[in-house]
Amino acid sequence: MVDPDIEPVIQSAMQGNRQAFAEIVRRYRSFAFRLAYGILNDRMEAEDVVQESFTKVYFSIKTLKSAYAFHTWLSRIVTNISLERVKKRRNAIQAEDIDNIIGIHTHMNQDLISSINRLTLQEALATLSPEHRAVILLKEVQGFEYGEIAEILSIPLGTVKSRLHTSRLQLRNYFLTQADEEG
Amino acid sequence: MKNYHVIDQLSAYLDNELPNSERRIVMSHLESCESCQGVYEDLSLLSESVRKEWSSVEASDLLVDRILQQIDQTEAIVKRQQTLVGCLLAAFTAATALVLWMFSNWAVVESKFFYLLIHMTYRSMSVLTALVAGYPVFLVEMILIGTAIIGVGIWGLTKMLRNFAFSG
Repeated sequence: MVDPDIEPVIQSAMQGNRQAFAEIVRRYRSFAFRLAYGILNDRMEAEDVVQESFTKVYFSIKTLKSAYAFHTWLSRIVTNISLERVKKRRNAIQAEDIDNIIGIHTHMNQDLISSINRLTLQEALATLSPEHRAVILLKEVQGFEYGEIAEILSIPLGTVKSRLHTSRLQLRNYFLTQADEEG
Repeated sequence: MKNYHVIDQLSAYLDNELPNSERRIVMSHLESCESCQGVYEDLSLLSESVRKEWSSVEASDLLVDRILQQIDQTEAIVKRQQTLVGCLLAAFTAATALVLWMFSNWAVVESKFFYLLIHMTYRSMSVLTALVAGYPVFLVEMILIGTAIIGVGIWGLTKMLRNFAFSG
């Protein structure tokens, strides 16, 4: 997920080394961008969020207790700023309650799985609420554990568990429905 | 029938986030239930697809320069603000020191300049009192303007703190 030799670079940036900070930006820009882009579903806005996040990081990196906490900390900043922007937009699509799962006897076949690409996935993610998107991206793409996600989003562990499960079932529903409509 | 299945536990099972006791129950159920096994495989394949597809999303190289430029600009603004605050503090300290010196020095208190200063202050206060007494609207206006100034000050300070301090 992240280069193992980044810890000394973070330490150096924490002591005010400007070049070390530039190196952090180079290495983590895509890490931050994936999260912001996934939550906002807008490339330009995601770039703005990444820019704002790193500016915040620059001015407060000295307050970071340990270099090991950097990934969680950066993710929290990016997620908070992204969700704040979504709240301002107020046009986010809300997740539907998963009361009935598409027949548990119907499953995704290999053709359906191989038809999943970036675009179809983006469309599927857009059917989730921003909060659900944040949880699934933090888990699947950033690789955090439930406890870390709870800390990043300041929500209970049980909420992380249920949001993640709901999101996955909704993505499954989306692809099965698409396949059903096409077939 | 739905209660019998372990659908609700499948996500946590997939992520290895279930306690051992629950994990054993789910594992044992999956061995005997094709439906749940199918849903589990779907979730597993979906999880893999999300990871694979989204991990290939890359930010533009130009973003690095934009970020570093933004930091330079913000740093310049912060320095200007710090200089301004420093100047204001220095001016306030100098004014306080001057007033203290004036009151502690009897020669100054006795001087014509000091008398004039006190006299002018007294006259200004008298005019102000007369205005307030004569035109009560003036007092209301002053209160409104004062409240507006305090409001703008608090808003500005909050905005500045939000911009430059990390709030988590």
